[in-house]
Amino acid sequence: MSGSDAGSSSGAPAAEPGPGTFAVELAEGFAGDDVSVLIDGRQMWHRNGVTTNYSVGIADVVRLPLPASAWPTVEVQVGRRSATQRVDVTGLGTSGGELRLRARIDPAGALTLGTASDEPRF
Amino acid sequence: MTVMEPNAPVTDVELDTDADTEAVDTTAHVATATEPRSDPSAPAEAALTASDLAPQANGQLTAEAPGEITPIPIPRPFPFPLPYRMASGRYRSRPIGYQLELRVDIDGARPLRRLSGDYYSISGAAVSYFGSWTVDAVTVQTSTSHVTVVGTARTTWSTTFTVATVTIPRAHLGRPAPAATIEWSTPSGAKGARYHCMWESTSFRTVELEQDCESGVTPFSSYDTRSLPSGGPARTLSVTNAFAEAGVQMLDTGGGNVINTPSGYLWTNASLHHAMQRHFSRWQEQPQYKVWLLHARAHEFGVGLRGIMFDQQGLQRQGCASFYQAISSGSAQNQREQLYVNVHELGHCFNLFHSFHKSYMTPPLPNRPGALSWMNYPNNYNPGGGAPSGAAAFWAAFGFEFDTLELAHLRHGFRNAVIMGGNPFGTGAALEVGEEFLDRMSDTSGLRLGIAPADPRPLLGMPVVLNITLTAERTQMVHRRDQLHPKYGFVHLAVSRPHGDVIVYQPPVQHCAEPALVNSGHDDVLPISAYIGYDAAVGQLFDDPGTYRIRASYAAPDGTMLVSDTATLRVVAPRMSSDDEVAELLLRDQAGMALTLLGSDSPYLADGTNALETVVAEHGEHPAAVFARLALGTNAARPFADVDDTGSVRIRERDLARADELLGAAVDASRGDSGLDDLTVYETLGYLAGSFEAEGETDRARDLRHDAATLAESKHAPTSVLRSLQE
Repeated sequence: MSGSDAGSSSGAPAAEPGPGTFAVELAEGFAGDDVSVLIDGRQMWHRNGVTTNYSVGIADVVRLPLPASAWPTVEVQVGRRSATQRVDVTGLGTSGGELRLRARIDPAGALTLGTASDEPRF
Repeated sequence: MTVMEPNAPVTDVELDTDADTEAVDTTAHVATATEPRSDPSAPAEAALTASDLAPQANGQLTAEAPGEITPIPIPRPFPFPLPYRMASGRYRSRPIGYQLELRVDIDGARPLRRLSGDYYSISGAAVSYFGSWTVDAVTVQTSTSHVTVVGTARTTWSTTFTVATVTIPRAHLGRPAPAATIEWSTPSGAKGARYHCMWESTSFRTVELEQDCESGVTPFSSYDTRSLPSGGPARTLSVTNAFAEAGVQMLDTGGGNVINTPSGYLWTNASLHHAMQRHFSRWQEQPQYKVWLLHARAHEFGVGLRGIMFDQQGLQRQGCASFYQAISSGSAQNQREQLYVNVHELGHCFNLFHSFHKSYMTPPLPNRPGALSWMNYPNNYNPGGGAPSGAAAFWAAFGFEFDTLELAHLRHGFRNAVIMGGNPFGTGAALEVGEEFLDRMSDTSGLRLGIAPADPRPLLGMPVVLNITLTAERTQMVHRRDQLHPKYGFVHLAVSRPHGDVIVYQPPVQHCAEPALVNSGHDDVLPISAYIGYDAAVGQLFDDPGTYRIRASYAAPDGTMLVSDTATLRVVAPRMSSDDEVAELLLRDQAGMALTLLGSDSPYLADGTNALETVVAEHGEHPAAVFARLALGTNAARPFADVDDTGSVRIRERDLARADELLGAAVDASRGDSGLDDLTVYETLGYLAGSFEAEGETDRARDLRHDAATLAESKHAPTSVLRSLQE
């Protein structure tokens, strides 16, 4: 038991996100799902086996490049279910803030997409 | 000799705890009393020593030499009545055959009036976990000499000796802690095993905690609850103190690694798991009461993430981390949040879900957003009824403790549902919750979900059928009756098996269907029966003799999560050689799948189909034969399409004569109280009628439908069933 580096089993250490970020948080209800995130109809991210960690209620946080359009439509597809949200990213690239959406599946199976709160998670 | 189950009576001398261990235990008892084990959570009475109190306490006189004149001593009156020791705590029997860890919870801080225990099987030097039991509600009788605690236990294994009677002599403070004796009996009074258990600790469980720290992070030490308004008494709390108040002793084993990271490093769940394997000196891929806590700076999920129980691969819940990036200053708010985060994340390692995420557990429970608990989010706190909610209201009322159901889990949950490296996160932690909670849930929803095995005592290998019933007390939309079958995904099942594992049932064939809703009310009863013997992941689900506990949940269309009471099923070991042969045939993997599909011509299931054929041909009188006839007959009643390698389709047409013979025999054997369950009988007659109808034999079809309706009416089937038979 001696002090040493953290090590990483998944490649290089993650980096702090830069100013002005756009992210989709995959929250409660995911259980080995096939998930895609699309912006204006174009698939930007896809992963199989997405599963929520209920110690934080998050399965993954998908960081995306700032969309070219000011009012992009974000779509999250989970299997055959889909939810969309039109968002305003005007000025996000210069303000340094983060716009985060949250997709969740309720216990009855309904998929919803909305703005994530910035409240702490434990 | 080792008995097959620990509650049963034993006559062998080696295990006769009555005579044999009484004498030995006395020695052990003295050893325990004179060499007390380290117990940081021991009560203040430890400050009073035996020598301080012994002369006054029992008035014993020292023996005098004969002939000497000795003034009669006048006992000095003790200035106040001497209180008794608590009886609550952890006790342990000697390791003979089975060793029992007994937990008694009847007095002390927040007593839950429960008993629980874990059995360990001893074989030479090898010790292995056997099973757990818990008594949810006890009656306590206290005399001047003894405390007697009685209650009926739920167990993870099969036993008829379910009534526990625990007797503990009363002892004054300063006296050695007495041993507890537990005696098992059947509800009718037949005596079972008896264990003499030495007192071990005031804590119900002991967990080793190893803590490491990322470079640059100052780990939390303690928080004075007087620093800010709160709902509990003033005290200084560390992580170990907080758990000690819950009855869990956290032995801080040090650790103290400093893990060097590059500037601005963000942890991922993978790197956290890697760090745990590298730095947690006690880590092993096996269940153990040992846990690792990393004090770190930040996680890639964002600055808002204050902590995580990241260990969700392999054997889970062995490590967690807290992130200080946003709460590193020494302000009272930050110190309070550091305490909260560390206790909260360790709570996850004990298999506790968030108060508002209980409905996502397996099996689920109703959420408790109004819980003043370590496991609730301050922001999400909502006691309802218009009372103040949110973070300010939470902190003002929070007493820095777990809620009562969480306390019951921490103290008395079945071992695998609690121990780190036991059940996967969120699995099985609801099975020990008391039934009263579920009753309240039913009252608010206007719905009742009931389950009962069609045969509560099947022979090993008999297909297990579960009757599921939804009752709508007031008018509302619910799923159509057939969609209550687990294969549609609206009803989920969790099965606790005799060896303590909990399986969330996954139907091998899942039907993806749009929800079909019907308006129900006025105590409408919607029953369905489902064969649940074969699981997509684990295969044969009921492949060992013993007691299985089943609980169901139903996601109603309005989002309400309903949970059934727990149904118990005892799989009985084969009695005769034919039972054994039938069990061997029906517990084959392909036989389970063939039963699920109600037969198939597929060559990929030939072994299963052959097993069913063998049961009918060679064990036609065996109770399991009706199920084989049902599967083979149903398959014969429908065409089978076979696609060969070239893509050509070959249709095997219905064989109605064979179907009629097999299904007729299965139905006839089930018209009374044995054989197939009633719903399956009606459905079978209806299915056969449909097959005859499809072939133009309408007279035979009409007769079969009439038979089904008459039978259902004679058995007082619910209206929903009678209606479906008319459709």
